[in-house]
Amino acid sequence: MSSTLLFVIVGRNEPLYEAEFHKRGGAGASSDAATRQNYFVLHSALDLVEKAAWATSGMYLKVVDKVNNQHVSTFLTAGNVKLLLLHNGRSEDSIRHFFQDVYELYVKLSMNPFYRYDTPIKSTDFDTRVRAIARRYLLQS
Amino acid sequence: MATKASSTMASASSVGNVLWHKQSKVNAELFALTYGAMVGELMRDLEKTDKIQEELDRMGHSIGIRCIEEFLAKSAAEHQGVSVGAALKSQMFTDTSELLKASLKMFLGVTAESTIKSDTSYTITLVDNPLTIFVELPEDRSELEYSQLLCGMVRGMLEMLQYDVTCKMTQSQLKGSEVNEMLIDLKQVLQEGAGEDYHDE
Repeated sequence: MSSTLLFVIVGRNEPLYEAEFHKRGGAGASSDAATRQNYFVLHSALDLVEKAAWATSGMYLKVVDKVNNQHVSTFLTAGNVKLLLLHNGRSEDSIRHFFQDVYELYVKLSMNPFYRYDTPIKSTDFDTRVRAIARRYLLQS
Repeated sequence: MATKASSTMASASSVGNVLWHKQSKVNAELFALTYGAMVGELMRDLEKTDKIQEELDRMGHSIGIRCIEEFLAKSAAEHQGVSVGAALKSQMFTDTSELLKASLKMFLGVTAESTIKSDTSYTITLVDNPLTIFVELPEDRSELEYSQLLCGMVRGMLEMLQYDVTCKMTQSQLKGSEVNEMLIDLKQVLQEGAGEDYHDE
């Protein structure tokens, strides 16, 4: 359960993208209750994101909330889209690199004339690449 | 005369290179985004994929008939009087592939390859397409030929040279192929002179 990372992209009104990352060799899909709790933690952290946004002028907001053993890190894009990661104490550096790479991907996606801003992200290409980035930065044993 | 013509042919691609360097340029991202915005608008206005493609083809056609004049004029200036177009008038249809490659280089900066299939058809292959740098086709539009404008442009250019052709994309990187390929087929050679509208009754 704690080897699962949850990554959500939140737009103005609704989540635009969700992905769970599991450590290789760890447990398979986490139980339903755990997943629901994870989502709850992430969404309740949204208010704290707003607060933290005013404290710094950068886009990477680091850890905005800590519940039990789980941290919520955030990256706030220039278009007010929030990239949220629920984790259990990864290094700041790897999380920052993860966010930066995903942000670049997101920018490229938004340049696609067929993608409208603030709509759910359905591109399978985007999904594959996000998972590859997660594997590279977050799932190193 | 034949040797002079063939040496003109051989340097058609170098003509393209020289002309490209002399042209003033526009930012590639701006160009791609503008084209994307236009396709997006067409999608909102017309909704049906085949209507959108028809419209793109029509737009390309009107661009092509203007581009060919500019290309021939500039290449004549470059070639000190022996224009690539003039040399082509007496040649075969398949020689227009050289002219197309040079003009694609001049206007879009893309280097194209051509493969002659028969006396009346050939294919032009592009490895990069400057129109599609950020594009990913959504699933419900997988039929859309995004670069149809290029096909229309080719059709317009060849029409001004009195060749009535059909041009369509046979391979597209947006649809999963390695390269982009256009197939150009000659339907008929148009007679010189004004069109039907201008004939006396």
